[in-house]
Amino acid sequence: MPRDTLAPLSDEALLGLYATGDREAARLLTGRLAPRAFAHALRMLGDRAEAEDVAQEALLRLWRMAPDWRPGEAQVSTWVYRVVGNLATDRLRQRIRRRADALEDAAEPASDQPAVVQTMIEADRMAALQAALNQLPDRQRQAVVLRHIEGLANPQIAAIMDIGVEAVESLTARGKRALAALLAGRREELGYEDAQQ
Amino acid sequence: MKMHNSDTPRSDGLSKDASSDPALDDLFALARSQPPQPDGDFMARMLADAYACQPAAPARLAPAPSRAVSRPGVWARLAAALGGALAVAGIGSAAMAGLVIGYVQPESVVSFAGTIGFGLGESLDLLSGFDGLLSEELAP
Repeated sequence: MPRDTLAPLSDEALLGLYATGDREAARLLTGRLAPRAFAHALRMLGDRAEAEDVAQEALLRLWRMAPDWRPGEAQVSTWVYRVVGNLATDRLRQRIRRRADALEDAAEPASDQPAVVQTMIEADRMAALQAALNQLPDRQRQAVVLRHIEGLANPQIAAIMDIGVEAVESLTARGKRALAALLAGRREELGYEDAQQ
Repeated sequence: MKMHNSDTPRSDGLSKDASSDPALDDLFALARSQPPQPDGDFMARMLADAYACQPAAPARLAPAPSRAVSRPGVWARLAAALGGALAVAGIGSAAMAGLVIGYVQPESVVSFAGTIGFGLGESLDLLSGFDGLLSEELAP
């Protein structure tokens, strides 16, 4: 089917066409979902190769279950975010098991603690943010990324994380507090001296 | 449970009160405006996966070859009117047999005709007064 005809369709409609063998639907859906899955995985994992693996696995699962997709049950993007989040969390837990110094201890560092970001190699703001995100507990990181970087609404985040909206609010608030504390020691490097009061 | 952040803002702009932290919000905005871009190889692999897992499209029926609709010819229509090719063949055979019999006059046929009362030497006058009528009209 021509691209102009399919472009306005929803993810769910495209998935239905995908299941009928429409290759243009496959191309469009991949173009929509793969970058988002990759970006979310990278925010969660902080590692490009691992993010690609996770995004690839998530979409493979989507393609395989496309013929059995039940319309109206969930948004396709919500489903993908959820799978990416679960896969990324699994990998993070594997990392923790491999490392003696479990990262979860750095959940909410004291304000006077030297910022973890001192160990960062990159000095720009994006790297600083990612490095700080990497220090958050998995659930806080996922909630913060979905809310403040992916820009999703709390109800959708709640659906993705399979928790209530209030729990999402709690996670994002704690995550932001922890991020602020982690980045506090880098204010000069990050160019936020002007905000000094 | 809704979180209320009552911490006072820090003097460095990255305050602990993250609900109103302009520096953190700025970082988030920066991250939103610069989403990580997957490279081309990765996207190609993703598309290859999508195609590989995709159910096959139902086979489309090949369009029937278009045949030019032609009217049957004169002979075909005549044959059809007579009952088809077999009927035409039968009529043709009978006609040929009649011609052969009439031309050759086989002895067996002549004798058989005489046996059943249709001797070729005899004639049957169906209109006996017709010759006289002709002769009167033609007389000067």
